[in-house]
Amino acid sequence: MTSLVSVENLTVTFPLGQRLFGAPPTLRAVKNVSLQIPKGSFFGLVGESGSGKTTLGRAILRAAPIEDGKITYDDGSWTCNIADMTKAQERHFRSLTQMIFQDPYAALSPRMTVRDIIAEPLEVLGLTKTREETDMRVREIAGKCRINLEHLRRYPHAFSGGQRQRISIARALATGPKFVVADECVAALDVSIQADILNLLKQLQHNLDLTFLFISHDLSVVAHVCDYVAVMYLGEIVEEGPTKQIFANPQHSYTQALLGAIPSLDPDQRSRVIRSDRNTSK
Amino acid sequence: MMHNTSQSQAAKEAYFTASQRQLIWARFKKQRTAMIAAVVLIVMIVSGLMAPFLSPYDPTIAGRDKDYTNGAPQIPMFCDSAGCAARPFIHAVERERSIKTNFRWVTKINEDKRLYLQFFVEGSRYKLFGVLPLDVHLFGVEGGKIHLFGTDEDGQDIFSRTLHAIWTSMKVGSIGVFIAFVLALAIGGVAGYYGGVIDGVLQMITDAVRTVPAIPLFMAVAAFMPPEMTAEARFFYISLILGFIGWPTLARRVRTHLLTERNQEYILAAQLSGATSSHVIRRHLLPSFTSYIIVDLVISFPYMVLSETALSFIGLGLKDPVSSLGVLLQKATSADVMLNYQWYFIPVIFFIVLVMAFVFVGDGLRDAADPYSEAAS
Amino acid sequence: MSLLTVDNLTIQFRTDEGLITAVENVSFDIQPGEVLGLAGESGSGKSVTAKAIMQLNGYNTVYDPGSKIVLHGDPDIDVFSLRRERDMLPIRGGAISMIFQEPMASFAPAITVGKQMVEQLQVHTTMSKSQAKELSVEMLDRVGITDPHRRFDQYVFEYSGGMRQRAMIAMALTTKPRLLIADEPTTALDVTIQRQVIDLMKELIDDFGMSILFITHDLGVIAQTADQLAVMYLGRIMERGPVRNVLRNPAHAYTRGLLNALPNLEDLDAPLMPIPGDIPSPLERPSGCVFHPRNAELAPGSRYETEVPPMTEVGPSHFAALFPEDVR
Repeated sequence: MTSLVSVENLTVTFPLGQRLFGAPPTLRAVKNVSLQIPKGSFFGLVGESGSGKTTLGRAILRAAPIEDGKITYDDGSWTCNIADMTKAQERHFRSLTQMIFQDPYAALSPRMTVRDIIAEPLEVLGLTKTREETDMRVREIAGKCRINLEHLRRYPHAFSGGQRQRISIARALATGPKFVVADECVAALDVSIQADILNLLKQLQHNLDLTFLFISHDLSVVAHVCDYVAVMYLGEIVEEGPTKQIFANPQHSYTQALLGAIPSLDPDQRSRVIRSDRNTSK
Repeated sequence: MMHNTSQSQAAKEAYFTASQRQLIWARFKKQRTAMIAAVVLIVMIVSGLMAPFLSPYDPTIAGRDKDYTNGAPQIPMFCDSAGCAARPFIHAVERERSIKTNFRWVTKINEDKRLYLQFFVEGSRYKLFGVLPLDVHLFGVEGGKIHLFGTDEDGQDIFSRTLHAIWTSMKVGSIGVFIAFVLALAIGGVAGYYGGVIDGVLQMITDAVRTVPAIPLFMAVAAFMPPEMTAEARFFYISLILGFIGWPTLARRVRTHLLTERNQEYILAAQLSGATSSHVIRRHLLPSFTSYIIVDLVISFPYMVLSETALSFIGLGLKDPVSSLGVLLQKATSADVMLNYQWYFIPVIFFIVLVMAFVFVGDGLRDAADPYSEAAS
Repeated sequence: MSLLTVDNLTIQFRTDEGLITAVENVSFDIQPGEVLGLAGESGSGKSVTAKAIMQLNGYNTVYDPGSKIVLHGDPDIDVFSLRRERDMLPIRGGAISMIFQEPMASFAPAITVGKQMVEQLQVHTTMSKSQAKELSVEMLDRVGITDPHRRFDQYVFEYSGGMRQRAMIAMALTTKPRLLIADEPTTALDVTIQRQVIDLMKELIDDFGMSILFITHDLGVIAQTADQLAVMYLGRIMERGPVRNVLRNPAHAYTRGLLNALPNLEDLDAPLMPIPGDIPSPLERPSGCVFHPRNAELAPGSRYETEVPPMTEVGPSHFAALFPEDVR
């Protein structure tokens, strides 16, 4: 199992406020975290608010202040230390990694057409040479994300939450990345739409050979779509491993509390704990 | 089955493909008050632009009517005691001085002599838009002069002066607003985009400038300006100063807006795609507050106009022969005028209308632009 | 004898784009001491329905004249007949209390929590200030807030998320309402805190004997707290009945679709089954059964496309919006 992203002793600290003299107080969002994300996996990162999961995801994409530690990216043909990149390396890195956001309403610029939104990463990174080439790439990825090609000339205000999320996904995949961080990307959607988006993500992962870091607070969703899961609490990883193992046999008390808190759909059962004697395959 | 006529489909498609600008315009059109104000504003701007053409006489001393000083407004009429006519006319005025009037000039209306209104009359020379030399005026009377708003103590036609004053105020306002805008964008933009220490320092500067009291500043400037300075130069400096003290408010708006927009997720998405600062600013941030800026510009205009008025009124701004509202009002400060020659105040009505039009259009634009990002319901 | 009867409630909103129907012909009743869960996704009209009971909808709301909401008691109160603000006191905070999704937004930020609770009591009861304070502190303690005397004098921003929600529940219960309307009270909470709040609410139901109208999109939460469940979609009730019956034997295709779309923790390999299509915009309300365009089980040209199905009995006290011939 080769790791696509390898996090070693990562610490992320945020300054709180400003001071004219001296250093301001800081918040340590991620404390000395180490993690291996296998290539081609759908890796789940769960935690409640304040666990640091979003910060970790952003730090891996170099969008959060890294105080200490090393993050190695190695896809077999290119490698670098994300925590310490040159400008040129960073440019290449950006074409290989992307992010999908939680809020479908804030993640799309209201002033750009769908076509322009999806094309933006291509244009910024200069990956296409002509407008026709860009258009072709846009149509291709929009089709894969099941976006009606007629809708490419519309503006975001014409779409529902689920459709906007599909546009976000298309934008993330436009440059043909290898690694995508999905930050709570179904949390703001209705249940019936969530299933649709999750199916789409699994399908895209399969077709495009992607590695996903799936950040979520919803354990039942993570249980279904992720191969591996890491549980975070107050900036540290308390437990990690293959999903089925973690859910069948949680070791850490926090994981157990988390699993025990999921309300069961059966009124006569308090929580949806997976009974360890269940015969689950693989 | 849903009732989908091709008309409603086309309308829906139009809504879906409408850009922000089109949406804002559609919302603006729905507001009656704003649309009426916009029309009024355009009318006033055009009349200011065409002021030399629309006014019958030169507004300066050169065009004064020596025979009719402090004269009451002359309204054209169709009928008088002698009967009605197809064309509007006014009665001629005569000035005489005799022993009967104690050798003072007395103006009398001669009801027997009619002066018919004529259109496209030849009159004093001027340059339309500053380039085109013409001498035709929209209306006038032959064999005399017509003063729709009356005249002042020197015989200058108040109607002509009013139109020119509107234009002068608009010019001063434009320059002032433009300078304020450029400064506000630069300073507010840098402060909002970079944040941190830079923001702190620029905020201090902004607040310091804001606390400068305008009147003493102008008095100081007026003291330094040599009296030989031409009217144009004076005019330019006044606009400059107004711009320099007007930028803090606008800068603060720009900064606040940038600080919030900067943290929006679509900005982060662009940055994660490798976008440089200039791309983000150009493609995302600037367009995001064009609508706000336009609103702010339109609303700052009346403040500039009123500031100029106040300054000229107390003698620190523009002076004759340039006409502006402040200059016109300067002449209206004696008890004599207030008691006897009330028509000196007619320009005030025009200015109230101008300022209100700006305010209503600005408010309308702001209401149209505000729900500009359709948030989740 | 029921506590609250909602009969044929139809609510529309006047907007720039026209008249939008948010709720259509909704009828249900709540018995004393019973918890009714109102489940639905966005656009289902569940919040609008709840706010209608307390007349909290905006000025552009149009209530159909045939709608009726009656709070039974001594005397019966017909909510729509209340005209003056003063008359609405009993339904706003008196016999009916409401708690919301975002507790930070329900408390005034610049007044201490204790002061707000006391103020509420003084409006609805004849208690003195000290009596009100005593009751409020007692209630804060009852909902599990430690050190209630100190917390009484604090501001809401000094509370944690779960504590705020508890404080809101405490405030809602001080007036001993007969009906508590809870609008997505656990949605904004972390799952461990959510568990605690659900447990708390169940205790309080046992202690106080009040009814709860529990609005949420989370069927798991409803399964744990509700006695009766009503499933809403696009302003209409699709299915209604005892919670066990509806969840174990869903009669309506929408209920089945919702349950199937949820991740099934029993079988982690089973694929997720979304409901096909998207929730239509309020301007494009389907005719007939509002769910028909997304119902994969329907044959094209079926009755459901043009006619609105009645609420048909499919089991004991269990109703669904189906034509009688389709009941299995």
